[in-house]
Amino acid sequence: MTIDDLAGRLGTAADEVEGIRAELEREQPAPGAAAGLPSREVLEQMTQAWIVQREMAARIVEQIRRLAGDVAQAAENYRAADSLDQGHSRGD
Amino acid sequence: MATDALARLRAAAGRLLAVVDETLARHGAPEHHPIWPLLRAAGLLPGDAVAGVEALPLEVLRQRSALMRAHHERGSGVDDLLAAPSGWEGAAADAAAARLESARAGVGVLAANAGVLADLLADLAAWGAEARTRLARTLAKVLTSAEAVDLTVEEVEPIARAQAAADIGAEVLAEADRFWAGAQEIVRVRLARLESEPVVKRAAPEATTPGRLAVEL
Repeated sequence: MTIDDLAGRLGTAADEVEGIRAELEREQPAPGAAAGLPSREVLEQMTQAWIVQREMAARIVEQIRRLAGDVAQAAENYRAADSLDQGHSRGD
Repeated sequence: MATDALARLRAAAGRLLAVVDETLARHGAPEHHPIWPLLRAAGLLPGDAVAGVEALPLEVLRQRSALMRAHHERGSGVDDLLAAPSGWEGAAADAAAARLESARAGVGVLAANAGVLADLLADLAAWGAEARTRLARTLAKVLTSAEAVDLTVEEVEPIARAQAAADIGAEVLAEADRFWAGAQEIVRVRLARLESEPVVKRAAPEATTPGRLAVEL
């Protein structure tokens, strides 16, 4: 696998987790107004767990995108160094 | 909402429940009647408590459960994408492998917790369907009770009407209370299975040597 392949895979992974995050943002676990104390408690706990899941997904997206960016930058540096080496070789 | 037994009986029992609520609001209930702790726990009159149970959207819970199940399965696909490349060596490769492993751990928890939430929502929908049937039976019972007759005959004394309303209300509220107690237990048990999010450590950037091939991975 090349470093560019890895950068591509990471981009795909980030997009996939972003899709999960977006679905968690778009939907709610049980829409509708709670009626009474016990129902409010049940709905609040489910909603809270849903939000935690969405925020975790957001952090993972950020983590993978940061890594993808660093990998892409490393690939760029590698190509720059490689072309420099080849230039030196030709000059020798 | 599907027209199950509860939906049908709710329509039939609507007038009776309205009279129960109105009587309780106007005359209260006898002292030490079992309805009092139920009223305090629910914070609702019986008619509103039935409406609250009926309002829990079972079909939506099933759909959200399926969505969480899909997230659970998509997690394994993401995990494959985050596998460290084989044959890479060196410090940068090790750093990249560590960061990939950290991301995989996060995705693993995300997927596992999606599975937990899928189970929670499916359990809640199944429990809700059973509980609706039980509440429908309770409504059928109170609709044909002597207390219902007491509430519909105008000549009955206010004290006897209050007693009848409290008796019917207590039966209805007890079933609604059972419904939510079961739901709370499902939520409590399932949420206890959620995994904690792994802590992501950000490595301190190292100084790069000029001319060195280095983006710190």
